[in-house]
Amino acid sequence: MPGPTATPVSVPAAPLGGACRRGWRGRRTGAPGGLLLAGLGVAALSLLPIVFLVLEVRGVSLSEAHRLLFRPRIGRLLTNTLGLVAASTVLCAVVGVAAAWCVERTELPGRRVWMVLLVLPLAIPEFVSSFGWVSFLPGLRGFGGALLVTVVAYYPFVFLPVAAVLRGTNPALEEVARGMGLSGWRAFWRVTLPQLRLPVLGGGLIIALHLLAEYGAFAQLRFPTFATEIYVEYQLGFDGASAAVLSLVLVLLSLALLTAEVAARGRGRYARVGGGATRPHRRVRLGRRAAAVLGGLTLLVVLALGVPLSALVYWVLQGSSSTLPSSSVWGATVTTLEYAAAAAAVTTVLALPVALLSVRYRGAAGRGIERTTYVPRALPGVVIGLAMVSFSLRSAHGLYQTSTLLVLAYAILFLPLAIIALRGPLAQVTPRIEDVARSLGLGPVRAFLRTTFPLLRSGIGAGAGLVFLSTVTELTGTLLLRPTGTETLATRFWTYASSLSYGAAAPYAAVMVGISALPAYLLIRRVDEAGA
Amino acid sequence: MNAISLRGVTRAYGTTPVLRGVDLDVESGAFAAILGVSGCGKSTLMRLIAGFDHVDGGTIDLGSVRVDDGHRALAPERRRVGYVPQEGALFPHLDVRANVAFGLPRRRRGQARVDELLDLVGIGGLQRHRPHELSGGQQQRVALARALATEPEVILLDEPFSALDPGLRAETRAEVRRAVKALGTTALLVTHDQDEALSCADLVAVLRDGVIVQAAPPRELYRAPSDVPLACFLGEANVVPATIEDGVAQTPLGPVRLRDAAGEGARGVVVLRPEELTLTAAGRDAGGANAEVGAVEFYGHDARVELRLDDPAGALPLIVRTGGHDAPEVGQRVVCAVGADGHFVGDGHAPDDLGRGTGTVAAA
Repeated sequence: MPGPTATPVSVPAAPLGGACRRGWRGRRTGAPGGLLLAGLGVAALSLLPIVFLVLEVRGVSLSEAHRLLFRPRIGRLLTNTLGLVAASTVLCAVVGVAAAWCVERTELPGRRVWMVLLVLPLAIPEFVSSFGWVSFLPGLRGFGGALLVTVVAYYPFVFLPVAAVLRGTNPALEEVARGMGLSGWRAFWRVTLPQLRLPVLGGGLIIALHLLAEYGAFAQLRFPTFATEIYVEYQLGFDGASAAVLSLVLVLLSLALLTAEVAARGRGRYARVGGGATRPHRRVRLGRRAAAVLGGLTLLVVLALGVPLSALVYWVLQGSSSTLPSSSVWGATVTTLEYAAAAAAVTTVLALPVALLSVRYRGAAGRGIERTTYVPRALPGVVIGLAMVSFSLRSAHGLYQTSTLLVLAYAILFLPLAIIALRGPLAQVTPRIEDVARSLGLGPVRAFLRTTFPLLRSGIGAGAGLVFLSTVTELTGTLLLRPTGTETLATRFWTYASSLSYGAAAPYAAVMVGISALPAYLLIRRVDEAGA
Repeated sequence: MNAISLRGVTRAYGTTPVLRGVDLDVESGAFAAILGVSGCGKSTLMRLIAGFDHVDGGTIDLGSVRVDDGHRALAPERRRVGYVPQEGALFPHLDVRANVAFGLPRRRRGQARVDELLDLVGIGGLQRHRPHELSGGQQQRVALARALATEPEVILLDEPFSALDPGLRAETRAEVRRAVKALGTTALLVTHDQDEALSCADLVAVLRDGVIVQAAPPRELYRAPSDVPLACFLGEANVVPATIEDGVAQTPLGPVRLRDAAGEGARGVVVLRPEELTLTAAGRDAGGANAEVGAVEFYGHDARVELRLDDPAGALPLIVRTGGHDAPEVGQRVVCAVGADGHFVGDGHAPDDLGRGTGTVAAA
């Protein structure tokens, strides 16, 4: 073989012909210019709703804003919203922790089945489960009804992470506490419970944000909150000013929640000190308490799954006896899947540069861009919907009531899901492999596409899947932004359910639940595998 | 001709300077090593040469091509520099064959070429294995084959052996050196391991605080380090105060002949390696200084002996390596003599820990 020194140098005579342009070399972050530009674009998109919300509010005079804000109605909305957020979140935490402890730490018979049954309510959109309740008990109204429906719909957000932590913590911690003379109950209180702080806070935050944003369920339960009021005021009189002012209050509430959660989280990290494989925990014998535990869990599953599902089955059967336009179910399903696929694709593409910047280049720019894309977490669907309407009316006429605008709104709404799903797998891929690919003669883009990209498949799949399913069950934004004549499963369902045509509404809900069951199943499997 | 040539290379991260004017020349076909403690900037230097990072000032030439002048830099894919990072960084989604063929143009990705390269690094027959199925040493060899596949002018080895266990390390090191030499490729190895640098490189450049303090062939570097801390970094050393009289160094151990001439009357230290000192039992008049054995670490094939000289200027501790067969006992009286020419470092070069007697190895 000829020595490599004999091969002619393939670099052109002008030595710096294809050189990097120094100006584009972000010196602090080291991020390539193109990536930074893409990230900035995505961040700007994420800020779009806030910007147009502020523009709408600026159009309202101070005295007008004062009149809109300080009326008795607002006081009642505020008590309703905050009261429900507080009560429902706390109850969800109690129910979620108790159920997780029973499943993970006791000799409960059939615990894998319980695990599945207790997580499955996640597959039922809130407006479908409230539909189930209201269709059976038309008298279920107001605070009590809202509390019942939201607790049984949302407790899995606490149950899932708590179950994972209960399974993953080192049993030696509790054993040491018992060895120091603490009773089982006190050991739980002083050792186990503090370790559950982070999963409970995390789950609680998700629940509280959902409660602030929820429109469909509360509209059916006739329980006015900020979100329902904004929608109604917008729909009734196209009262942009009032809706905008109320939206701003709602956004501030969400931001306050996010801030409070960060503060409560603190710097706490529960590191596992010392290595060794995790031993399974010794399970508590239930003995005579078994009946009570089984009864409690059964009641929970009946309330969370049994009622909504049996309502769906009942009304589907009722409906099919009348004339059921099955072709429109099919049409709405296809439309929904198309929108969901488009939203998943667009959102994933937008998430990629942000995830790359935030994981690979921890500079100020990367961090700022990532945080900006999380801002929409504080924006309920109804607010994003209204802001996008305002955006299309003020600045982008061509987009008003187009599918493009709707997909953009989905992307803004669900971008954090896709970014979070990408971050984990991306952090596990060493950037060195791209360096190696560069030194083997590949340009930056091809180096990425041939090394890192193939390794991100799981993250891309997970993120796209989450966005897809969130889009399928999205109601409020879709109602506000869909092109005239476009009907998705959610909007069809909503139209029929609102006009009390339960039989006609149920098939649409059944299809939505069927589609959402898949991610719930995958979630359960992941938690199950994490410990088993 | 030089394959790599650095002039005044500087690089800072924020306000922290990492490289503060590095000059280095590596001849074409040489196997060079950059030796330094962790955090001294050696990985940064490697990334600058590969083109993953760019210099703040100074120039980098590869062959006759100026690849970085502080204003414009040639993209890494156009530099013809192979790169073997720590841990190998094999592409986890590709098998061995596809890893090695990765940089080859499509028409040259034939079986024969890959076989040839894998045989060269001594692991033929692993084509279909996935990276996670290979041992650490095998991964490193695949990484080397992958880097050599595109016939680079220069190959950069970034601590490629540090993750391997000691036995495997020596074997892999020898194999890598043989493969690189067989192709005549210029190699630059970065390491924090003195033994590794001294045993496999033709040229060792020591990087300290962002500058190259000395670049020389291994023997010369070990025998004639430019200052005392460097001497101690490269291996255990006895640092003995000395004055030059009549062309020899006058020391508490008696007169010591020098390898290189030193100015008459100069004061400084003589660096003597433990294996350059000899011991004889007291009483037999062999010439040298009287001493008492303070401690003995017996290793079988040899022994490390700590001595305390009966020096009027203060008991000077010394370390001597002797063959295991004639290791003295603790407390024994011995005569210590110098069995080789010494290396003199004048006061001008010697930093503050001059009079400490024994230098200890900084990172053994």
